[in-house]
Amino acid sequence: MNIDDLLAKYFEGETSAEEERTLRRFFSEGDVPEELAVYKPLFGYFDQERERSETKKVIPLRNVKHRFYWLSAIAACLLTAFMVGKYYFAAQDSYPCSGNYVIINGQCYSDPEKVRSMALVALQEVSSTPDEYLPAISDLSDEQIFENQLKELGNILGDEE
Amino acid sequence: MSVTPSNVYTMELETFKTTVLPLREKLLKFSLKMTNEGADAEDIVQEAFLKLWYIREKLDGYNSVEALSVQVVKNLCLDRLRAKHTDRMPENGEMLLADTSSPEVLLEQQDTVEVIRRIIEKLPTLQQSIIRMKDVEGYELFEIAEITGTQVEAVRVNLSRARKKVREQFLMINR
Repeated sequence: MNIDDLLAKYFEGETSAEEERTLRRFFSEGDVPEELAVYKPLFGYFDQERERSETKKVIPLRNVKHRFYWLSAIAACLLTAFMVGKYYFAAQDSYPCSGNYVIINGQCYSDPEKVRSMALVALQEVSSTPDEYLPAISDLSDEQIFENQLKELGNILGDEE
Repeated sequence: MSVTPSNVYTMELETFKTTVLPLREKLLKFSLKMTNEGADAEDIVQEAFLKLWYIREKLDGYNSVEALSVQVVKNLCLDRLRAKHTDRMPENGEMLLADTSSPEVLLEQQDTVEVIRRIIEKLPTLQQSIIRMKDVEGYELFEIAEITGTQVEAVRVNLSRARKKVREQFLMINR
């Protein structure tokens, strides 16, 4: 591409870094045609500024960036470890068994036989037979109860006579 | 693992994109409210992002990047309003006459490079920044677009305007 085309592209803001380098080189070298000489100071200015910023460029800054970089790497590792750990332990705590299971006193049971028998025992604790709450009555038949009551009534009446 | 400068730079850009750029909407609204003009507001926000980009290493030291960004935008708005009040952008080389050594003198001294410097210094600040980033610091258009959170085309247009204005003014003086 010739310089005129490059210049046109340059003023449209369409030149690449490489093409701009070509332009700067062209204008910094000796034989620039007279009709293009007006552009010399422009590129000369950029060259000057480049040199200036190059010498000004600070190396120590890189250390700061370095540290920042490693810090974030460490932070990322810690975070990952934390998340993985949290997930892993959380899984252990709240989902210790799989499939059908019951938790009794913090223990996990998934064997149906065992569960059934434990359930029966537990139910036994809260249920009770009539024997337990009516011990006196259960020993006697209905007739005896009847007779006893008549006898008591007779006694009362007899006393009043 | 080695860290090349370009690596670091990419990382910085990523960090910048996640910490600063999300403020764009908010800043634009704020800037719009202050300047009352869409184009100005947009320019100011882009300028603010460039300013923040150049202090990116120090951003961690601020309590709130958001508060800082708002302050930067606010100052840029005030600058802009003040400039509008007192000044108009001169259309020709007259603006340079006020300097101590006039362009004519500089030209006589063959100090044309200095003339270019003066012209660039008088460009709107956003254009100044873009031309500097592209022509001196070697940024690519897409990088500038990423930093300012805008389209590549918008940056290209601004760059083209800046370069053409420099040419125009230089030719006017150099006639």
